[in-house]
Amino acid sequence: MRLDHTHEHRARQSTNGSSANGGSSPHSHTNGSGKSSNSESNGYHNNGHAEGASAVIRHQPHDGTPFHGHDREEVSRILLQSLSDLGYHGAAKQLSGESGYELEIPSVAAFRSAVLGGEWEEAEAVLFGSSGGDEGAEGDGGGVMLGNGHSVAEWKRSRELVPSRNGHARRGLPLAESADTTFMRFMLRQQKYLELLENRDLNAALSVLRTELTPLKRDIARLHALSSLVMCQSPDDLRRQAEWDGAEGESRNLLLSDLSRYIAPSVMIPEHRLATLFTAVQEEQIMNCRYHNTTAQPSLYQDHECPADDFPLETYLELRNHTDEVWHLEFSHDGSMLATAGKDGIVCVYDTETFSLRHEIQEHNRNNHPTDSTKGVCYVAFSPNDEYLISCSQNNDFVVISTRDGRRVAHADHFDYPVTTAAWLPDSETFVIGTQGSQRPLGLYSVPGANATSSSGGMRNNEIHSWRDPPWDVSQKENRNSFRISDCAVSADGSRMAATTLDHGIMVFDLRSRTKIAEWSLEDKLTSIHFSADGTQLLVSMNGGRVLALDSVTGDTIMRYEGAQQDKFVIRSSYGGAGENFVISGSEDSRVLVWRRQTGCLVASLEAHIGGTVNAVAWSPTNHGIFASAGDDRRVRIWASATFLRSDAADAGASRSSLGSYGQRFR
Amino acid sequence: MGLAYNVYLNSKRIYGCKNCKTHLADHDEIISRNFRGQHGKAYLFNSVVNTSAGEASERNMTTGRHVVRDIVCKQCKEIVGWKYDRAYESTEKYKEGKFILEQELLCQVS
Repeated sequence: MRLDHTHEHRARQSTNGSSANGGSSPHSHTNGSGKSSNSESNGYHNNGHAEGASAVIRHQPHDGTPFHGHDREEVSRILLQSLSDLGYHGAAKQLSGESGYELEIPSVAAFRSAVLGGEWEEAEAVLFGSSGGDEGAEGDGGGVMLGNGHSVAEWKRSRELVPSRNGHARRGLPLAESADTTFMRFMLRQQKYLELLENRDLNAALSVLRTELTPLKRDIARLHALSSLVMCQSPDDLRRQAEWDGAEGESRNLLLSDLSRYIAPSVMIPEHRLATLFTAVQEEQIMNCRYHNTTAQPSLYQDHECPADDFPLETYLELRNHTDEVWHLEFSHDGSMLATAGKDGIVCVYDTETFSLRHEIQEHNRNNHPTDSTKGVCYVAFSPNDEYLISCSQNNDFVVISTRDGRRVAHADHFDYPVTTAAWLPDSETFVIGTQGSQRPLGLYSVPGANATSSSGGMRNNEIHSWRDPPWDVSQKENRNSFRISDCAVSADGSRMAATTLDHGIMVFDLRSRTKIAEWSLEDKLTSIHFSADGTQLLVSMNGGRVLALDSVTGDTIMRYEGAQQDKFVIRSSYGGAGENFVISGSEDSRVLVWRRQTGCLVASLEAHIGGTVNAVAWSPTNHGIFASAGDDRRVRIWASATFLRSDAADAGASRSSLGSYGQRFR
Repeated sequence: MGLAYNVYLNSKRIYGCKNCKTHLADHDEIISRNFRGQHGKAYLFNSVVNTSAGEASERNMTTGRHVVRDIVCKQCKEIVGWKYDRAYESTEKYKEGKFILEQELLCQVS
């Protein structure tokens, strides 16, 4: 394949018979035929290989017109780096030839090869400069082969090019602003020491330790650790103890990347610079994208802006089963069921395909006289495997129901105060219950295993562990110093549990050791708490319309989500959307609010449940175009995205009839 | 309207609703025990919790004309006393914004 570029302005010198890309050769190269009649140019640029080519290339800078406002040199060098990163070495070489820029000046190349080749004095000399003298070690006038594909091409260091070599004082590589030269020396010498130890060259290693590492007077603890490594019996032992990869492994590359961070970026371009720039631009676009409800990587071909079509903004359905206020609702973890609970004491489980009623659970009204006013169910929680559903009621009890048949498998009613919250551990067997009582504020319960015989109504009061504030006086009915729980959450990996108390505090417990690891106090009443999927953040709803994201380790406020209204009632918020990109919350002014989690900007404020508060919201974990809201007007509203509505309208009205009196469709 | 949790008081002697034991007031918040309500003895409290107030109405009481509202227990909706909005006599001004709970409708929750 003929490369067609013009070479007229370049002069090349060729040595032993292999020519450079045909600049000054007598015949023209633009004759369009694929063959070269010049035997010298065989195989040189046809396939881009240039092993053994020892052509000296003299550069003349291109005309320095800027590239759309950017410095031509910077752009070319970054492209060079990217081409060689991608593995297109021939193209990279071509580019450097054409543009006249090199990826790295020879001293950087020398440094790179020294580090990768294990020549430590050389590396230090190149890096920091040396004063005078003829260093034999760096002499090697031959071609400097650069390994590992970092290089663009093979360079030959020619004496003419870099006049400040051999025999002159070298200035070393320009370092970045914050470079700590002692630290860099320490790293180089540490690597040298470890490699000598690996080769069992103990004397040399010890001398390095004494004469080179110790005088640096840095990091004495590390020095002690290093000196103890002399005791290692074998190289494997050494590698394990030092957490070091060995000379043959990645350690040299890692060292090079670490050191390259301290070298001035214009001299040694930071690794994968182009990829870093792309990622930065994409992330910025994603941050600014208002309705970003997907986890797919956007294309680089165009600026990213999600259409509002994928974001649930329209009411799809209203479910009217409840006869009184609806207080809580939750999707199952696989997205197939929706459970709603309300003041009428009923828990309804719907199937999310058709939103038809699967179960209607009246467990809490069992023992009530018809004239008794039941107090209502305030919390429902699906187990992680979606087999069980806990419902907590203001009647001072909770019930565990099997979702398959809707029957009770366990319950507990040894409480004197309403049960406010439940949270499952990942094993789907144990769960945490929070109540408003001071005697049993927080308890760990378990569900009978599959082999347990089902007696009438299932297991009762199966409490494994109870957290209370010590000292606990059994004789007293109330423990004055104890806390009362309004909400609790378990992290996704089951290691921690966070609970909010009625006196404005948050407590974090370690679930394995069952001890308290943190306690914070906030300004106002807290009504809801959730862990983020990665467990680093906690989302709390606080009175005064404040929804906050806290760091789950330190308790500092990371982000505030403003706009909700909450003063008198319990309003809940949660994470939702693809990749948990959104925070959604109800509000006392009948609206549902959605914010971008990362930036805190308000995405949507939807009117729902006119005339009452929106008590709880839940986003479907599998279908990101749907979320549901529960309000005081006794209705549950399902919101859907425009794409979902379109696809739903496409499958005909077969399901329309099955809704019957349960709901009303809006489309 | 919505779900609202009860407020719990932290004190040695707490008065609660006789019907549902909801905490209503702290013993230390008593200003005076020298009151009479429709059911007998009543106490004047500085502050109460877990109550909701009804419509304001003008009433003639033994001490004069006042604007009062009836207060009910939030949980069971039983009347437990009243709240003084306004007192027309200057000697009765100290009652403004304070609450009366009738002893007959209260119980001690330790």
